[in-house]
Amino acid sequence: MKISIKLEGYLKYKYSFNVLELNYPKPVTIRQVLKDTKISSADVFFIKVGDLMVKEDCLLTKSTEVKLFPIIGGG
Amino acid sequence: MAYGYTGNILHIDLSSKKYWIEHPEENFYRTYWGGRALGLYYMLKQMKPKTDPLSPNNLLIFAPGVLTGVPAPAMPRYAVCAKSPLTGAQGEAEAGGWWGPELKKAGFDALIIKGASETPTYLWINEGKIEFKEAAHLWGKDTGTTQKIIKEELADEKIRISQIGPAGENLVRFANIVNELKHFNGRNGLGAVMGSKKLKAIAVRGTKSMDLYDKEKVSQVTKEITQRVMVNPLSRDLRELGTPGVIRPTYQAGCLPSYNWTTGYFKEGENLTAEALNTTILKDTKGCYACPIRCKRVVEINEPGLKVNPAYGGPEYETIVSLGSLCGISDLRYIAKANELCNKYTMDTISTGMVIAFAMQCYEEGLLTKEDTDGIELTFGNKEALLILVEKIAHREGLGDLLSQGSYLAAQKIGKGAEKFIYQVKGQEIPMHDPRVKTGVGLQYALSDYGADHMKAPHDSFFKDQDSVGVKEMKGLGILEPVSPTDIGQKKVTLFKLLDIYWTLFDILGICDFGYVPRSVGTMRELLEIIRATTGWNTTWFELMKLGERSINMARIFNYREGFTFKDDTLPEVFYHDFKGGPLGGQGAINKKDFEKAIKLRYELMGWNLDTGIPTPAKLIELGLNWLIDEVKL
Repeated sequence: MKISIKLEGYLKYKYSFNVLELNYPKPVTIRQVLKDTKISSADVFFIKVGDLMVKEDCLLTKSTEVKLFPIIGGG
Repeated sequence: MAYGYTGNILHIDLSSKKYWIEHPEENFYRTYWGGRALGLYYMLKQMKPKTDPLSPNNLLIFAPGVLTGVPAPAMPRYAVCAKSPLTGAQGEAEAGGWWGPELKKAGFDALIIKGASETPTYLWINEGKIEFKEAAHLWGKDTGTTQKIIKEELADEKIRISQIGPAGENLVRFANIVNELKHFNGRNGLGAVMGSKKLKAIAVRGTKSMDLYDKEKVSQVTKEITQRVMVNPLSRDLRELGTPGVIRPTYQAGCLPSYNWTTGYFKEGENLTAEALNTTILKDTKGCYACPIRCKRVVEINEPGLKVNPAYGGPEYETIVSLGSLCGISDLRYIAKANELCNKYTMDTISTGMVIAFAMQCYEEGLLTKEDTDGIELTFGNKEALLILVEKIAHREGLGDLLSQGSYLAAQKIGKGAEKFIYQVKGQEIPMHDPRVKTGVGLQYALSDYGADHMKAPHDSFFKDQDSVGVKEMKGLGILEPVSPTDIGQKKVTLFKLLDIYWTLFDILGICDFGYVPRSVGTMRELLEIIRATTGWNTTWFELMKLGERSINMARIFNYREGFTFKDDTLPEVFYHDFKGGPLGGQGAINKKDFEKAIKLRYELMGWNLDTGIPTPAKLIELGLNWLIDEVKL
């Protein structure tokens, strides 16, 4: 199962990649994917899989793209 | 006299064309420091309750902070304070740029302006000398033209000018004040107050450098912060994308205010992003006085009929959303043009977009007809109509005259249930952040003394996890645990009491919110070091937080005198309902009872009467505001 992690906004600068692909032999939670990629959940405000907003406990059961959006402040 | 101050407060009476200079004692400065706290002091002392905001009796106060003009990151800001013609409450708005530092170099810690001139005038403050100058030839001119003429007639390119355009002259209730054509005292309609006084501009020139207690220390801390600007992801983001960087996450999440708040889902959101702006109309980036972050966008368009002059800067996040998705418009060129027009005429872009989106919804719902709109097909997405209406509002023509009063008064005049299409707190249109995904922002909208504002406290997202920047970096304020952005319980209320005071302090000292934690690169330790090195006062966060709290209580008393009550600390009903459509469709509603409980708890934490929200005498005594006790005994 191929999980593609796409970083948006300033996450790209902090983690020095735009897209990262990972292979998992069985279903995995987004929390575990974040842990494996050493991305702090403190930096992530929204997670999107396809058109759906999901939480870190979302279980990924098939190959997909996970978009991570940074925390947003005033402006 | 403490370091960082000039020791001079300039009082100006426009009616008599006289002025005098006050030299307050050090304890006065150490109690009120500057910015909004100093402004509120004079408003409470010198202005009678129920003063008409557009009468000569309103005060117009320009107040830098003690840090304004310190050559350190993010210290360019100054407050303008007056009773607001939009809300009827305490009004204030802070601007960056260069004007605030220049005023201090010219020899003044603040300007207190009263009265009104019979004919248009402008002030010329040159190295401590004051002149009242004739401005009839400038009245009716846009800001770019006015700046050019003043610089030519005073024969100095380095003059800094704070001014109003035609919207301020025409008393549009959300007119703003601008310096250097692109730095705004944006909200609360303070430009209309300036217009009511027939004061077109204040030109300032000063060359005296600020007297700092420990210049070496300021330089050392500045160097440390500057070296991290491109390493810290938050400050780097501000530099590379500016505030429009907020758009992509917001539209992707489905919480981008769209079609007058009827949905958070905007299909063409990608067209509005910072990434799109950077590759199409961005010409340059700019910063404010001595700031290395350079978050300001400068855009340019050379198409016939849509020419945008880069001298007027470029749209911020708030502007792109309010003049864009909120009106159903996804063409950045038209948004940039509307932004340029607002800037030339000096109109707050949030309120301008909000009143136009409101009118569009009224038209679509049949509350306004073509007869009311001067023949304009005022449907969502009509980008030509956007530009026409901006012009009409600034010049108060036709429908523009009605909308120039703000959405609250306009809805009352339209009637027929139009008030259900407005979104405001205390009469001020809400900014472009949806409290359903950041409830603390909602608390601040409701409790803000000058109407809904998105810069009253750092946003919830900075405190969501144990490793979040707000939790890691702000332990010194007692912030030890994370709170979910959508929580509205005790932890959230306690957190936002502290955050409200913390950012209020920035508005007193002259600091930009984009320079320090949690929104950016500078730490609390570094900020405290700069304050101490500037003033020579061995101050502490305890003293500083009490200062912020003092000003919040002063504003609360001002508003109480004007008739505001706990009933005005509310949120628009839309936020108690789920999002419609998009990724968040069917979820997000804030529980109204929980929100009302949160407001009451905040009253208690602040030492305010639980039922009325009025500061108790004991709280006023604690803050050294004994002189206001009689006000709460009325």
